[in-house]
Amino acid sequence: MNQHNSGATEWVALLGDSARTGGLGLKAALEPKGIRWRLRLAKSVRSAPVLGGDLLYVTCLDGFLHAIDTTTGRHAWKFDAGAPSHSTPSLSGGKVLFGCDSGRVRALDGISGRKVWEVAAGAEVWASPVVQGGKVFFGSADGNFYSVDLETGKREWTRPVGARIYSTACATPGRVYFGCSDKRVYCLEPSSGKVLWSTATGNVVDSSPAVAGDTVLIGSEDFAVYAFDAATGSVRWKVETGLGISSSPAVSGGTVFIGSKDHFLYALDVRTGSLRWKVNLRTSVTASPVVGKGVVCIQAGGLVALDSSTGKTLWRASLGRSLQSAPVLAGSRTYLAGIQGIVYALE
Amino acid sequence: MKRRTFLKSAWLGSAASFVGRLKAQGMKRFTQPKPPPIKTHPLPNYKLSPLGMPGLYPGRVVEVVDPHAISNNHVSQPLVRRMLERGMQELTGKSSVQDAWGLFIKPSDVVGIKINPSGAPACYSSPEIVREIIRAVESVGVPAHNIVVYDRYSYEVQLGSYRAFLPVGVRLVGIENGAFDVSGYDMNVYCQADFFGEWETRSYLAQVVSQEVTKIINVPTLKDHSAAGVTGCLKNLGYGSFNNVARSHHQPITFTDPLIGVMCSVEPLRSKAVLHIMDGMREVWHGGPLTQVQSFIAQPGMLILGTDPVAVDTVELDLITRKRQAEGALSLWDRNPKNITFNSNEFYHNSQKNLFYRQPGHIAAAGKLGLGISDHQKIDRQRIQLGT
Repeated sequence: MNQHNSGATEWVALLGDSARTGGLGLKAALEPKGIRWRLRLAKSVRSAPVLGGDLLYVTCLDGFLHAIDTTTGRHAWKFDAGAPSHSTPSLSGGKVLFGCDSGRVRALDGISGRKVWEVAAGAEVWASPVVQGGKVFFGSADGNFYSVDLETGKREWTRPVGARIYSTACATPGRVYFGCSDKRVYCLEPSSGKVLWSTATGNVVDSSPAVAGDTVLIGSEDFAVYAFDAATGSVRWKVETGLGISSSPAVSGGTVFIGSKDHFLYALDVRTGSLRWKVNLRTSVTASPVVGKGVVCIQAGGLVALDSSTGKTLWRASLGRSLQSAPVLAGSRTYLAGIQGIVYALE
Repeated sequence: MKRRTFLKSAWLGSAASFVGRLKAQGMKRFTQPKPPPIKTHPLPNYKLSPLGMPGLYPGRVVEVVDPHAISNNHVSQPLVRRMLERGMQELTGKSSVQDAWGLFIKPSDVVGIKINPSGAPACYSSPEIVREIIRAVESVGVPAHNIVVYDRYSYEVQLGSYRAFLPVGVRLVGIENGAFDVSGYDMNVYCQADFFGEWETRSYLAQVVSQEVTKIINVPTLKDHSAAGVTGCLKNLGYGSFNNVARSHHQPITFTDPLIGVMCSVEPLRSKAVLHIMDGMREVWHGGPLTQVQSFIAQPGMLILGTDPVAVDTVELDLITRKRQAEGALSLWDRNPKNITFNSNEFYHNSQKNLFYRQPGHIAAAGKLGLGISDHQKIDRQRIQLGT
């Protein structure tokens, strides 16, 4: 569990933990009765919202980070990033962090929206900045992976890999993992950026890794889901799907859930890779699933909730068509956004 | 919002009732209405380049086939490289691949690569081909930051995951970030016509074309199209560089003929498009441009190269026609009202149905505008078989 998850009302990052439960734990995803509120933004949303206290943070192609009051559905404030953002925000130490297409990564005060610091990469940052041990980690399309200090934004180290990075890292106390467009999955030492291992897949890796115990799970555009030994990078198993994978896995109860462009959502055994179930969602599945209590939710066409043990559809909401967004499951409330640029609170 | 919301008046009443009337009248064959006049407004004082369409080799088309280049939807980049090199040598007659590319691209150029991501992920311009084109363009001295991969819809570009496939420094542009986003278009270059009483009668050219790039390499796919008959070089270039083009279709009628060719004739688009490399790794023979139904997508492993988009599209039309005949699908020229459906799902799963009276004649019409050669007898069609 991410050490910065601070309370029961925070959904702090896309990779808040491997199950993407944020700081909320495995919350139920009750079938919503309707829309509590909706907020139309000026452009498309290509990232996932995150929840901190009473504020929902959403980046948008309109160039703003929007902080939305979850009670009213109105803006608490918005920050002009000066460029579109595809980066899912993350929350840590009272700050909200996000990247944008200009290459800038910013830390804002989560309550006021005041800028605390910013750093600049050489090209767009689509990945979500992740925090571990007081350090912020992110990759950029400039071919570098960065570590900066959470409090000051001072650059700690830069690791050039020579190919674009869109994968959001998964950081544990001793390791940082991410995928790269050079077809490899990397494991770095957080303190120095030293490459501990890197393992090749058959094509570019756009997916973001999840860690389950000593196993790193990730998808590749070579159509396969991979499980690596977290310590050595050796391939434990590999499962082929029908098309490329840019969806990122979620893990819960020994099962890894991941979508493929072949229209299926897969549930695989973390230990062996054996298929537990797969469901045809009748559209390319590029977004990331989110696990709740007995339920896995994914934005594919609209929002779909499936029984996590059988794959049976529990309910659907024809809202939130998405490429990369994932819903926030907050018990009686579900928050989501999508390519139409509308943010919804369902209840 | 439905398309009809944008129409000032019901041009034909309901489209379904229009077809119903045809059927009731016992009409066995539909007659295409005369298209409205199309006014063009090119970039002022832009002179036709000798590299512009039909380019250096009018009527020459090179097909390179390697069935091993694609297997179970996996495209082999090393085999694509070999196919592209052989194709460029055959097209230009140059023994050096770099010299062949140097005929079209100079180190000072800003090169646009026009992809076709619609249909992703089942069928779209293969990233492996785009990467090899980038490699070739860099080999003649163009820096990565002067290479722009573009298409109209950022959503489709993102779905194709092109961002992850491109070398560091190459720019990726999705011109529209959402419905009604016209911020990426040049208001001084447009085509104007009133097809069905729509409010906005202009289609504007993308700024990346009019103001940024100096050359365009066009990378269409080998694919049928529900309205245009096939979508090849001309359709990918015209309808993928101008906005507001869906207004030329109103089921079951489409004015893709002549709008596609007219758009491609507008400067500076005509002069900047110097090379066409059709991705025939996959061949969509029914349900295009958006189908995801794998049973309508063959995998012949082909590249089709030329500087003449009309000649390349004529070859494409021939290939799709033959494939449809072999599969027992309707002719692309079918005009029988009983074969029209207004249920797109039915069309996507039934090759005996059409959404529109298709207009593959748009290719010959473009030829009449001087964009190339559509007469089979005058096309120099070379086929290179690799990997046997």
